[in-house]
Amino acid sequence: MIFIITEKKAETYSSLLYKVNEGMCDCYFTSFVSDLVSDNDIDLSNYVINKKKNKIANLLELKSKIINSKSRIRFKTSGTTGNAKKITHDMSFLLNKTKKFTKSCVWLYTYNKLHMGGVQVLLQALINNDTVIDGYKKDRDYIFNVMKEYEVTNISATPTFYKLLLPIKEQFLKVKKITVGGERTDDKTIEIINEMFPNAKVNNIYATTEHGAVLFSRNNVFKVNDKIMIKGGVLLVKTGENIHYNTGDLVKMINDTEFVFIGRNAEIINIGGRNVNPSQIEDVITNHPKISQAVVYTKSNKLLGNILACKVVSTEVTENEIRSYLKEKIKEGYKIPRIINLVDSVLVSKNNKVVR
Amino acid sequence: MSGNKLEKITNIITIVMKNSSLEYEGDIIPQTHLRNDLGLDSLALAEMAVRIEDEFDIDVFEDGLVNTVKEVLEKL
Repeated sequence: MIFIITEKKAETYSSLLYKVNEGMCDCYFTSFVSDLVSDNDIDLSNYVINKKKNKIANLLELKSKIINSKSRIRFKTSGTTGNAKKITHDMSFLLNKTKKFTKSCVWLYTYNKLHMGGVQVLLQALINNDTVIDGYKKDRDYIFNVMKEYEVTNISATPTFYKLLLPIKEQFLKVKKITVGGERTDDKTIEIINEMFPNAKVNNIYATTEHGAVLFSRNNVFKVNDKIMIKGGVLLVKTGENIHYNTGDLVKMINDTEFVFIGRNAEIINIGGRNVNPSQIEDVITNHPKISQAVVYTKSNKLLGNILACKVVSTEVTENEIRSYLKEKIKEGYKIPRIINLVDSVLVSKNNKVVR
Repeated sequence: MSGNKLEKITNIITIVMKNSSLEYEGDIIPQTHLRNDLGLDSLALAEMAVRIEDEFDIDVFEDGLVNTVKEVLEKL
């Protein structure tokens, strides 16, 4: 049985859970289906789950319709660096990426439902008749409450999502699997996950909307495989015999077979002719134990083209402390942000990714 | 009005100098030379330009170099 809890208040959870056990489903599921099956070969009117006729038979039938659907599903890429592209996949491609599990799971859902990551989680849960708790764009307290109350076992989210859970309030021992993807995963994210979910296996996924998941890792070091190629420090994904797709993601080999992601080509900032990778500066800043998040961005000017500025999330450090810390850690002056803003939070896109 | 602008520019220059670990014994006056007197390098000048633009919405380097505080004030 799949269900999704949306805007319910804490005190109504148990009654909703009861209703779900009785074979009812939240209408959010229906809206997911109608969005998903965009070319619509399913007559949704037969399966609309309303308050009067919420029968589990309908839902299982609906599930089988979704699985066997010949629909082509349109996704928009997140357009992190440039224009969002439209990508179409058929259901069999998406279902190929799902796995059957013997144990039932409780998923915390954190993605925008019209994007690949979100649909993958929903299909994964649907295949296994799992429970899904909607945690998309919910605040920290809400997330902590539902994780406890429903004993969430699986979370799939962007690094930014995990960082937004800081400061760590407690550990969640029931969580068995953490999936992280959609953005470059830095050391800080892995640290947070290990501390907050000590019993969880980490699965760091590198995926593109075009190809689905391409690389997997238990931390943030990836192994070279035959699906990829690295050329000039940029990751290429093989799409056919001698055909490669340039991902624009920058990588650094740490030995003959392993590499880490260090940023994106399109985000490189030119300061008076010298290139700076903002992700690397962010890593240095967030290595400070009292800083949870940092975003480095550019301020343009006629003299040098750009200078660096940054937003830093911390209540415990001053601008002067950050500046002295950076002067100590970064030798090249032009790589130190000239403008430092201390903020309560950084801007996060609808896909739970940090916006520069 | 111009006095007010001088004060704002002086404040911005003071922040920029602090960020560059620069010190200046004298007062910042219109005749003060940004590079020769204060020791601002191109990064510091770019920071100054960005901070001035945030405040006045004008890039002081739009039409070429400015050398003194007076030349900055004339752009605003």
